[in-house]
Amino acid sequence: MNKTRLATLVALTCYAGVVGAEVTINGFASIKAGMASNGDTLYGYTDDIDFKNESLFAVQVQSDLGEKLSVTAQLLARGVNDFDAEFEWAFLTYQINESWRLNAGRLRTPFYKYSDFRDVGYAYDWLRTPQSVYDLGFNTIEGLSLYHSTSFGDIQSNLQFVFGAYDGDARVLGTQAPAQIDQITGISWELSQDWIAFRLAYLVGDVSIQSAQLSGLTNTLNTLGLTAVSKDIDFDKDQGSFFGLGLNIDRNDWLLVSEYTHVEVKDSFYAEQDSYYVSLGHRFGSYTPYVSFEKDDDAAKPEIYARLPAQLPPQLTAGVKGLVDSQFFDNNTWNLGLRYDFHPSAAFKVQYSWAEDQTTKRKDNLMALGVDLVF
Amino acid sequence: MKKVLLVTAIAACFSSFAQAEIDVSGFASVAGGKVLSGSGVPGFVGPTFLATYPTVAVYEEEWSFKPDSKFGLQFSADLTEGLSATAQLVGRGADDFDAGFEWAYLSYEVNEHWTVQAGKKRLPLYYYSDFFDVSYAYLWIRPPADNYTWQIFNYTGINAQFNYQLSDWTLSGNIYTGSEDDGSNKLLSDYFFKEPVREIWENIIGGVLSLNRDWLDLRLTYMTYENRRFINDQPRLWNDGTDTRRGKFMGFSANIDYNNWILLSEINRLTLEGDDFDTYLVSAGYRVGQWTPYVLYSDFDSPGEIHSTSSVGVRWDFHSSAAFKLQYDDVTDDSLAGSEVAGDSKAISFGVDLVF
Repeated sequence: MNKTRLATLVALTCYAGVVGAEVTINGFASIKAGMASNGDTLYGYTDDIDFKNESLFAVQVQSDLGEKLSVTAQLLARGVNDFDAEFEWAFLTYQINESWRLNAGRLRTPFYKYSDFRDVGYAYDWLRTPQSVYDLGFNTIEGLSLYHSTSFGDIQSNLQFVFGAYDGDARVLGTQAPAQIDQITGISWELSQDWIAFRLAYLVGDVSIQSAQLSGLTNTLNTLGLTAVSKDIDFDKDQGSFFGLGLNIDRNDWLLVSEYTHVEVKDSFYAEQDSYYVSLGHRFGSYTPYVSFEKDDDAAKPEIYARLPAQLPPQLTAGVKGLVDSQFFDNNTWNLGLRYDFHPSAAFKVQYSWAEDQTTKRKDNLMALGVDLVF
Repeated sequence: MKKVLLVTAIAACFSSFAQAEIDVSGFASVAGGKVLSGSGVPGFVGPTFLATYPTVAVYEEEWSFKPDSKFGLQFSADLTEGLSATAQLVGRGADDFDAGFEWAYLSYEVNEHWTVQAGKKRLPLYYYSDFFDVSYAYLWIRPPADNYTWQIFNYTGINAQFNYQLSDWTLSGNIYTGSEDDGSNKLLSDYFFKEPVREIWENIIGGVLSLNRDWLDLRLTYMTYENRRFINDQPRLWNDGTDTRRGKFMGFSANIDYNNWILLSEINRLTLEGDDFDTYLVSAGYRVGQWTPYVLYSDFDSPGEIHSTSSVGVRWDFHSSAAFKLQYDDVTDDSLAGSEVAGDSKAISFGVDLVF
């Protein structure tokens, strides 16, 4: 429930003429616990029970300043970051007219169907968004987003254009490294009619990552004059692209949710990643059981090492080959879960997941449960 | 007493927030910019516009919306009987929007002239220090980098504020003491030394005196402190062989807002180990309806580090509590070899500042 406060001036004497604006505070929280099977690891869980990994608290503050202007800030504290709070959303909104709206600031990148509220577990049935698809290492950008919403007959159209940059960390070879994605430009378009919704997203950006894991190898290659190979491996203003498709059906208490994504970074060793999931659920009053299947299909780029000269030291060739081949990933995941709406603004969820690497045949199983709520 | 307890209990319990005597307000800035051209400092940084020193707000050659963007939420609770509590939570793009308490203090109003405060506050060195993050409150996109250079900008301590009316003049001021122990100082660690630097300013004693009447605003500031520094946990020894050096800061500003003309000026000097670090700014603007075009010049001069910035811009008050700003900055770095900061640069930035 929203708490409305009448805000007063920022306690400064220096500016005059500011009238108090309405401030609305609401929020959401998730408390989740999970434990993988003996010796398994999945989604940050090990075989010890963990309450922090996916728990989070958030407070959202919104203020309507009138004259089409409003401001939104979301303070989010994740258990996995020791509940240190940061502004996950921080943007201004200017409602240009009935159909056009401009957001500026720190925004959610519109990669996925549930990008805007992937932290708000209450907003979807699963215990977590399908990780095979929702696995890009960053969620936010700083920049501008222009929204257009309209309807054609009974078809609702939501169009979003985005421009900005990401400056933070990215996970490379299991380690966080300083990353910059410049000139991010993208579009997402969602069409919905009654019980069916279709979504499309396409984004591009210039990817630069300073990875200590990579620099040893690329420096060696450069020293040997193999700068072309080095450039095929590193992330130095290389064009990254993201393509996403989504389909949702919600009819007669049957729920079908599906997304497909393709991610690649040209001139880098980063795999061409195809992922999808299909989820089917059914509402029985306040109980919603569901089953979902996820697929990771990441293709490595052996053409990078195919061009290495034969007379190279074998350990260097092996190093490049090992790096490139490590990107290959063929993985299936099944999830079986239940959402129980025990309260008007809270849901209990339990989900069992089992993942199998199709190459190594390694299997990881995870049981997790918890409560998602909004206030 | 019962009321105080009630308010405290409610403040600790968010779900009962609506009943508490707590005011929530805030401010926000969203700005984007880029370096148009710049020399950088060979072997140190590429083309860079260092827009704010203490937070290491850096623009480079690609568009970035982080350096000058920030959000602040302010909570103040009136506990009655003269007592109030204030907390300000700020997230800056330059800090990856990590949320931290910039202000956290208690105020006790002794009488109509004097208020005593204790806790964490902004170190009121400069004219714009107190509202540095609230960009809506001033003309430019940001107070000029050449002036607002010092790596410590908060302190924890106690201060006494006063306010007197003397015929047409308002006389106000602040006397403060405290310290700051910054375990990992951002400017020194991330920018200058590139290794962990713990910066301590202690035995801070300072005062501010302001005189205002109608269109004239004068301000005097003085502060002295002791500085210790640990680089990679090793104490830095100063010229006299000890680990502590005393700094003295003094400044004067005069601002005029008359017949739509705005004239702003500030001059400051920090003395450390016999060296003077002199800074000043001059700025002029003219209000035409919602539009205020302005020019700004700022300068930093010390034995090794010498730089200045010429800026031109416009503020557009398109909304009763929000302003759009566009600014062009041209930085000249004439520092001696080894003391350069970021080299010469020309940069453009624009953004919206608001309060709520």
